[in-house]
Amino acid sequence: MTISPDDLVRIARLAELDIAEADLRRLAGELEGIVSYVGQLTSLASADPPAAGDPVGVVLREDRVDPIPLDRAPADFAPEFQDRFFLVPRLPAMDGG
Amino acid sequence: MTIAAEALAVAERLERSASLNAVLAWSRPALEAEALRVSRIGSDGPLAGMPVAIKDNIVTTDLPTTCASRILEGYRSPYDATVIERLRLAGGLVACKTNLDEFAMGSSTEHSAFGRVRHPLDPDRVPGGSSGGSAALVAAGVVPAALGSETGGSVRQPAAFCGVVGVKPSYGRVSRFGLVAFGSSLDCVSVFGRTVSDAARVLAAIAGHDPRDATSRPAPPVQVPVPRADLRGLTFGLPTEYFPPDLDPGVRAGVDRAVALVQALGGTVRPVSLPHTRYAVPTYYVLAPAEAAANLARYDGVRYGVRRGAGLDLRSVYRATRGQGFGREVQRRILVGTYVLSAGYYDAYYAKAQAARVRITADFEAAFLTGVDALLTPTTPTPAFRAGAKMADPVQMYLADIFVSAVSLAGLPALSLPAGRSEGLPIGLQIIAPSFEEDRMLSIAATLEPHLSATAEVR
Amino acid sequence: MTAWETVIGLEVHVQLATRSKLFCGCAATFGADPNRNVCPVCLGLPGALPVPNAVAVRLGARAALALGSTVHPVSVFARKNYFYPDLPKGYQISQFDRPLATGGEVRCESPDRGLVAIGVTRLHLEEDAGKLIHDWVPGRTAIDLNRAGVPLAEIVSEPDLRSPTEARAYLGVLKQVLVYTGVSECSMEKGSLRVDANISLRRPGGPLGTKTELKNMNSFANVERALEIERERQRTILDGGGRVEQVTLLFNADAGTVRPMRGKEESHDYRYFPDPDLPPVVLSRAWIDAARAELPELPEAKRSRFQSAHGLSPYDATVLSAERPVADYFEAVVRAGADPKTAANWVMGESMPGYNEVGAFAVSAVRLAGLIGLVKDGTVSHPAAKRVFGELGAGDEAPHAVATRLGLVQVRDDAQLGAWVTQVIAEHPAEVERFRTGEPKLLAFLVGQVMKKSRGKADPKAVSERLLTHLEAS
Repeated sequence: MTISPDDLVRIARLAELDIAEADLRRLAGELEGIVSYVGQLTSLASADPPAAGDPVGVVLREDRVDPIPLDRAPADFAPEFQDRFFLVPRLPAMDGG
Repeated sequence: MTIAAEALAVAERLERSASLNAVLAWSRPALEAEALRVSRIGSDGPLAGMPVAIKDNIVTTDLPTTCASRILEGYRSPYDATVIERLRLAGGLVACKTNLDEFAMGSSTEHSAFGRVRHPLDPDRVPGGSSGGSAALVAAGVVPAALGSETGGSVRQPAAFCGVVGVKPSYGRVSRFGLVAFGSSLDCVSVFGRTVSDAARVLAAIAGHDPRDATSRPAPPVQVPVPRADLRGLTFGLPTEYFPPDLDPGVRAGVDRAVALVQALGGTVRPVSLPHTRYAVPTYYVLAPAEAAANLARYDGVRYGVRRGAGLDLRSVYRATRGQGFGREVQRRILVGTYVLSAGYYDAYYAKAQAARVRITADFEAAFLTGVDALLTPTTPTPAFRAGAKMADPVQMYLADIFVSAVSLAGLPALSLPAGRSEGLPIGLQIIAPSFEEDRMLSIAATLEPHLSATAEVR
Repeated sequence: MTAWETVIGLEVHVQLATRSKLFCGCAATFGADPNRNVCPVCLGLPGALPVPNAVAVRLGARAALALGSTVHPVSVFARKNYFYPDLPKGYQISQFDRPLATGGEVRCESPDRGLVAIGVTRLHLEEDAGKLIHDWVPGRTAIDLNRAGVPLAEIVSEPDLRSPTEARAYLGVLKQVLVYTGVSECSMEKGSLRVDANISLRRPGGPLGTKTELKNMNSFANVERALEIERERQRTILDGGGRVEQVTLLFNADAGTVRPMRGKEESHDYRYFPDPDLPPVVLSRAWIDAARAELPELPEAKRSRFQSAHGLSPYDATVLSAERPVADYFEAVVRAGADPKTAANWVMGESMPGYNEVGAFAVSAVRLAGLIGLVKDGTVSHPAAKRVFGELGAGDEAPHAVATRLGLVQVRDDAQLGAWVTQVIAEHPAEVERFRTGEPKLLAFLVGQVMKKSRGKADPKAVSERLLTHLEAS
């Protein structure tokens, strides 16, 4: 399994990480090292693992309006907040609307 | 001692231990306020004012929670973790927030954005990780107990390196609500103590079902153990895979001495096999990064935390915020996790790792079914290593967790007990119990503890 | 021009009618101040964890059972990973390879094909995203997370629909079932029902063509319109020998156009995996049976029962079963003693206009049945009863009391009737003569004159009998 700088760019884009041009080759190499290390799992016989039995079901919550209180309001921890809204740079036009 | 006096004393000790770089946040006013609050709500509690250091990936409203990451620098949580609320109700005092590998990703506490933690016995060595700050503070006598977190050994491994008790409970025993997620199916709030009893008291205070965590499970409370007269009637398994030929001789000597002690106390010892052990670290390094990649997607600079890339478009803001906010190891794991889940690779990595996890768990169940009450292993393959020794090679760093990750994958309780020293460095004995058998595990540890002379040279 | 077959599949998102959100205790209500209904969980704060809402699971299962789907004993929440500012955690908790339910069908009336059964592929639960407002602050996009975490059921149809009109009919029936069962309010205005449509053209019987996805339709009529426009667009391309590109298109209702969506970078690699924060949803056989037992009679069954049990015409049965409150009201009127066909006429003619306006019935079923009884026993005339009905809404006076107060109780007193009849015969000798000489239609005129004298209070039937007796006797 080889991971090229192009592969790395694609993955980094999915993960929304900026990777400096200068770091691409090094990081691709490190990733390849890790991925080939964990690749030894492929030697594991691919027969179905023993059945895990009946799964323990999630305990559901009652439908009550009972929010966990916020000690501080969003305005206090948001990087950009105005008149009750979180703000981000204007998204590209969505058309149609 | 009153709770206020306790707070004052811990403040003095925190000041004196600053050179460890084990603490990310504390203040005298915060400690005084904490003492006041605990006097009000928990003065009759079983912890009776015990100061407890908190790993900085457990959220607190009074002190910042950064996860040792630039991306959360200065972040103050608007709510307290369940374990913090329970600690206070039991009379425990939040002493400070401790340094860690960024987002708990690491085995040496060198991957902190705020500098590495020094080993209390040798500043050139690492305290282990990722809960290195909590381990170092307990080892240095600053606090009798501390909260850490485990995803794949992050409490047991530094406990072994620092010569303190480290207890990882069963998955689901302690609420994760308010523990900043790394690998959600593995994460456990865990405890350090100077003694088994201190660790058990804190564990008993924070354990129990929490309706805010859908993975927490109801169970009878954890008991603070009373040492037994001996270990008669108990059978201990020694998994052969945990005693490889290249095991550090000091570690081997320490564990051999502990095993001999178990036998001397009347315990039966026999070899067992956990054949899928060799898959544990690779399995862990697929599943934990996959979960982490999703868990860390929320750090996008939109709702909280530090935003970078002023003046840029949204996608560039995301990439700058995360690219500059996360350190190298975190980025590596996000990339690995994204890769193993991405189209075309899921079956080769994630699905395989899930299958391996089932087998690793089944190995333990099979061993316990043969009448073994607990397993004994070394906690780590070597004593504390030198700072920088494994920074260049991520896989070498991952292998520091070779004896602790299988337990995490299986969700079992395990603890590391100081078992002597080799060339001045602590050795840890790992005791592994079946799921939700913390009481048995703690009582074995409490029985061994007085006989183990934790500071004695074993070679 | 060669014939093309239209192939349409719909993805419908409905908001489940819960009090709180899917994974936290925040109110799921519409219209609060921005970022008011938020907590650590739905803000995606560090350390917060989801816990699923029992009623959301129950409503999802109920919807599935109403559509004849199979509810699975084990279903799994998964993380769908992508970055967008309306998605606080960087992933949406949804269901992927193990949905709550699969299979089922929606039966609807196609204008071309008669009654058709449209397959339901799956129904799964997921959380809604927040709301984005562009340029509310110039150059910025504003985010309101009140809606983030609101419970949705996504209902995916098979590509079984063959025309835009069928698509609209499918939506009508689906909405009717979901509203009936109390699963969802299904209001497109409030955003509690949203529709995405997939459409492609192919040669009849041939392999499926390339599909496009349509978004941004804000009414069923617009779904139909958008599909018609897109069908024409694809037909023109294919007739010209071109190829349809797989794109997502946004409908513009004002311009009547569809245009490719820009801006949202679609990764199409969502890296789904089971959410480790949430053990599987495990539903016992007994639980599923209880959810089934909770189902009300569905519109289709009710319609046929109204015909068989109450003898209603297909049209009346359809109108009266279309909405559950109307059907329940009608049946209550019948239970209170009214003849079903008369009750149907009254409910459709008098009660429904007011209900359609304000969403409630002004006159209770029992009082309407009482009024119908007054007509039946001749206490009031039918026209008088309509006046009484108008008054009944204002208070809780009994129908008979209202009729009395308004002086509408019919006079059946023999002496009084006799006096009016005698007078009218005396005042209209010419008409009386014509009646006697073979113009029976003049009876109606004479009855009318008596009614006029009585100011409408006389019982026309009694008047007519009395007049005949008098005319024949003299």
